[in-house]
Amino acid sequence: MRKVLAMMLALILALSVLAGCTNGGGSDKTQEAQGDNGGAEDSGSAVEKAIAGYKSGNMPTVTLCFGNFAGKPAGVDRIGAAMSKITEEKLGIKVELTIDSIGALSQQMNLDLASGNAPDLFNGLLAGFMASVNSGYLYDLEENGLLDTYGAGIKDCFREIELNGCRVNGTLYGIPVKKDDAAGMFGISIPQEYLDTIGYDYASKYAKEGDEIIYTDLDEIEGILTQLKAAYPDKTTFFMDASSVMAQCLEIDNIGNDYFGALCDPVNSLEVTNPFEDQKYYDLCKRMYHWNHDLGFFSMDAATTDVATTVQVKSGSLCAYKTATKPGIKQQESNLCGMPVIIFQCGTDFKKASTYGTMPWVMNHATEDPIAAMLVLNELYTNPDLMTLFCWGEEGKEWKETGDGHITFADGVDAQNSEYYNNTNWELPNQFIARIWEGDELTLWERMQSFNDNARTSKAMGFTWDNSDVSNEYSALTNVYEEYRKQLELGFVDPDVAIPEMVERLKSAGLEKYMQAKADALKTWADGQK
Amino acid sequence: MKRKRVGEEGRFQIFGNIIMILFSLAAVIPLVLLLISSFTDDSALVRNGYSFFPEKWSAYAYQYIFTSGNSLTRAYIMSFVLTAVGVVVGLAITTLLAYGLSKKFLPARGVITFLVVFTMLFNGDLVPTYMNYANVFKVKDTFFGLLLPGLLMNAFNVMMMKSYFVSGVPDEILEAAYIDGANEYQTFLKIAFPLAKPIVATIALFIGIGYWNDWMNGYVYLSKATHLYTIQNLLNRMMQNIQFLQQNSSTISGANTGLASIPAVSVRMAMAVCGILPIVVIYPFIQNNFVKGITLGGVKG
Amino acid sequence: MGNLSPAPLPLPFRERREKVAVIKEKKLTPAKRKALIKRSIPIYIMMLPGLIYLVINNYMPMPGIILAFKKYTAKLGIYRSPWNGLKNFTYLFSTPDAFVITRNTILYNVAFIIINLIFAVAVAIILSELTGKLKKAYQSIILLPHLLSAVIISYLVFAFLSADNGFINNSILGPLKKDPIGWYDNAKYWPFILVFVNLWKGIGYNCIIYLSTILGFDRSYYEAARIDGASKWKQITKITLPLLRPTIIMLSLMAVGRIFYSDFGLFYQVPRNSGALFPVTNTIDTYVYRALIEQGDITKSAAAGVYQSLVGFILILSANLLVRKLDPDSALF
Repeated sequence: MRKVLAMMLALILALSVLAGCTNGGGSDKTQEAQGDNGGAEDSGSAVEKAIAGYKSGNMPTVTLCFGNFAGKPAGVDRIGAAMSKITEEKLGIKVELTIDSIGALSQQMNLDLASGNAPDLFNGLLAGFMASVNSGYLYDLEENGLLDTYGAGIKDCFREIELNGCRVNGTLYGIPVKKDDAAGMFGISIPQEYLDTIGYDYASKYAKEGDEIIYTDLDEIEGILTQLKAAYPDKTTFFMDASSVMAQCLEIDNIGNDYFGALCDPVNSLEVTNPFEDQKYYDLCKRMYHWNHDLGFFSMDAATTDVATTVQVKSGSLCAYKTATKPGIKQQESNLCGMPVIIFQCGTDFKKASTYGTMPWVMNHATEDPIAAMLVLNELYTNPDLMTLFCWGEEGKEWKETGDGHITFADGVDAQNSEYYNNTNWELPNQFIARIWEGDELTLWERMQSFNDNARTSKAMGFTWDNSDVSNEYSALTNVYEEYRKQLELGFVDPDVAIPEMVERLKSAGLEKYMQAKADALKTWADGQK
Repeated sequence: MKRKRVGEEGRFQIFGNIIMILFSLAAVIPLVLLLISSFTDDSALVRNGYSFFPEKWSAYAYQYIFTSGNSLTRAYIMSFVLTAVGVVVGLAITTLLAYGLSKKFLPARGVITFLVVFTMLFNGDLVPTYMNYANVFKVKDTFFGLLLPGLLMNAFNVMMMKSYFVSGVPDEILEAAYIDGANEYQTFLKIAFPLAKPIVATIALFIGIGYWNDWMNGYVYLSKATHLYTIQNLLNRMMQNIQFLQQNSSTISGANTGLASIPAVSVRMAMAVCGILPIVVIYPFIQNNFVKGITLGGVKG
Repeated sequence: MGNLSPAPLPLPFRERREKVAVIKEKKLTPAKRKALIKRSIPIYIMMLPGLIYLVINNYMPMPGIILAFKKYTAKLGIYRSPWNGLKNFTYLFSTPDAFVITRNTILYNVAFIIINLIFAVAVAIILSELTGKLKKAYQSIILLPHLLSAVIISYLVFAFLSADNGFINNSILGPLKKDPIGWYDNAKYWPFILVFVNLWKGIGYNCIIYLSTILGFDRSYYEAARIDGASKWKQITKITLPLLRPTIIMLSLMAVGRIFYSDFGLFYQVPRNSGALFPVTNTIDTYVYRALIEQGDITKSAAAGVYQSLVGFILILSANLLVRKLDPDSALF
């Protein structure tokens, strides 16, 4: 009886996730949806006309591309053909799929875009979204009402403000992916086993039963780490991936995607200030200096190692590390570390202005048939069967049903020998409508949506900036910051000495001019919002 | 008198051998470390660092490489074919051009020499070069994409060879052959080319190393045709991923997952071993001919 | 024994110089001109494949240099994009780093040219004089580091220098009871480390040309010297080095033309992009790369390329001019 109930509950939840997308998710959407209704019928007939045209004539081919970390999957052509079968039947459009290592593709994509050989639709991460926009590589998705007419399903997946995150100077160049838009700041992950050894009673610390994260502060963490250091003197006590310290620890919004002028109180104020002179930054560096210099938590190699934190934990050389949190984080990190971990969080859940513009799906400016490309993109955001194929491959070949609503590896298949296991679904248009893999809760995406909706949100949400007028200053500033960043943020140098020194050098590299340009752009944008 | 000379020669031999042993050790020790790391258990490697005496041995890295569908054998074959074709074609056009430039009587020789040297100093950037090869010559995703761009011939090799023809192949012999009734082609093939063997062997080695070590062409010109990947492309692809992740990890929320799914340190080391192993095995054989060619030319010159 | 006269200019060189004069004189008579051109045609045909390749590979993309002066937009393509004056160049000069990156690039290159030259010539001479069977083994072994990619070299260097697990800190400084050194945090060591790594990587490759040149020398000079009772050292300084001079000058001239370029892998990968080392590891190429990875603006790297080429061009022309004054036979053109 209980099992049946659970099954029904799961089914309802799964359905509501689907509905959540197709119906627009938030309640504030209804008004817009109604407003669009008048045009929807027209667009409906335009879509039908286009599809009829494709089906009767020569089927166009739309090429799709994204990057993974394992290289070209063996089954990529088979999955491409299976996806094409769906789109041919429904839209009269063929689909071709290219997947390769992200590192190799990113350089190639730059060259292909410059020379006009790029695929029709791809993840903007490959060539950098803003860089692609500045070089004129991307297609205006609203040209002649393209999105309104042929991408109605996409519009239903996002609020206007979310789409605005891909708008540069009023032009829409991309569609965000459905992912974790917010991030829990300053999460700390520690294997349960180590906490047991020092006798730390984590079970009682959860705010309520069933929570996956313990909300606490850095003093508490410092206490735990000190005990860990004593219990495991041979292991490195704490480690942070050096390149994401500010992004994942502080509630500072790096509008325009750099820290040379940022919103240090992003939820309440649109004032652009220098984050390196902010108290938050000083406190962080001071704390890390204490941890590193006085308490010896860090490895001396922290600034130069390129071994992933979780790999270090797995190999038994590391006790604790920083991570950004989100729903499902506990399961994710436990899988990566190969042992159950406890997740602490010392900061807020925060959503940056740039979050929707980091890895949107974009259209190549030289696309031959933008209408066909838009129809395919629309299908990717709305068709669960197509998305499941795209995310997980074919049923029976890559995955099978588990019986409780999940899917898992097909018989005889594992992560190593699967012909299509990219592990990069966060890059794909809408993983929220795909099937859910075993290990994740069936309610994962619903929780993700509410996490995204409830996070503290930057006031500059939707602001984008083209810094090409001050790009000389940008080069110089980047260089100065890179020189100090790891040393400061991992506590290798005394912030009382190094921060003023860095700020001084940033200023002589043109920080004020750069900040002013950014502030002006923000003001223009804010005035336009009213 | 004679005894003293022998003693001096002996001292020189000892001194020379000692110096060369030191240089060889300096070259070999890091490579031994590379080999040992590739056979070290990955967790031990992360935990204890690189060591000549690892805590735990493991052949996992090689098992991974040969089973994870990287098609290593195919990449080896590609590397060999590419290097062989590149050396033959590159050597032919380099030698012919250099021979021509060494002819003092040739009208417009100065201008042509300048045009050759000029390419050493100025070139189109990567993007124009790419557009030229990809859009005009359509080499993308073909074998020619690996062969043609950049590597086939360069001005440095041409100038090296030209100066050898000028100083190492006496004009008198060539002139004598010409007067005897041999045409220019015969003079070149029968006399100049054999006399130039040392430099031919050297340039062949340079071109060969260039092709063997190259990953850029595969990286840039092969996007769909990954079956044409050479061993260096396989190795490099992994490194590119790591770098991409490090640069973007502040914006990619999944970066941590990505980094963890990249092959471990020992695998990277094993890939490097696979990259240089054939050279270690084959080079002595090539070198045999190489040294023979040099001494042959030396005696005759 | 010590009465060996200063090495005479080797015969081929003297003869050649005289011959040039003769040919030049002959060239003036119009009657022989026709025959000369007729004789040149087969030579031109032989040169053709190489020249065609240079046109395809080097000259066809060369107009792309104008990219450095454009504000590039993909829709318009390289040639129709609007002009941008010298704006793409300013970032190389306008910042406080401009001095540091230029200084580093030049100083390292000067050090590399000198040190590589000395070691490559020395090793080539030693190898050419050795008689044992080991000679071949040495030659292949010291070439091996050249076959490693920069990334692998960076791992090897890290294996030695890592602060926690490095071979030097653990196995050398540890037993000596010295404090471990944070190699990647201390800029002062890196000029030496980089010069050493560069030497280590390149020695086997650099000595090849010198070695093959030496082996091509006429052995009769040495026979004559030996009969005269010249010591080994004398033979090296009086015969080998003077004969090597044209090769040394030519290789150095070409290196001077590349003095504004730096080996990106050596300066970026080997120091593991460690910020604390920037004051001694930042060169023009790494600066351009760092500035561009986020912006992806191809016009800027094109501008840097033009700047480096231009300076190299001027340097090589003036150096060549100087060499032509001092020793006309060794000049590049």
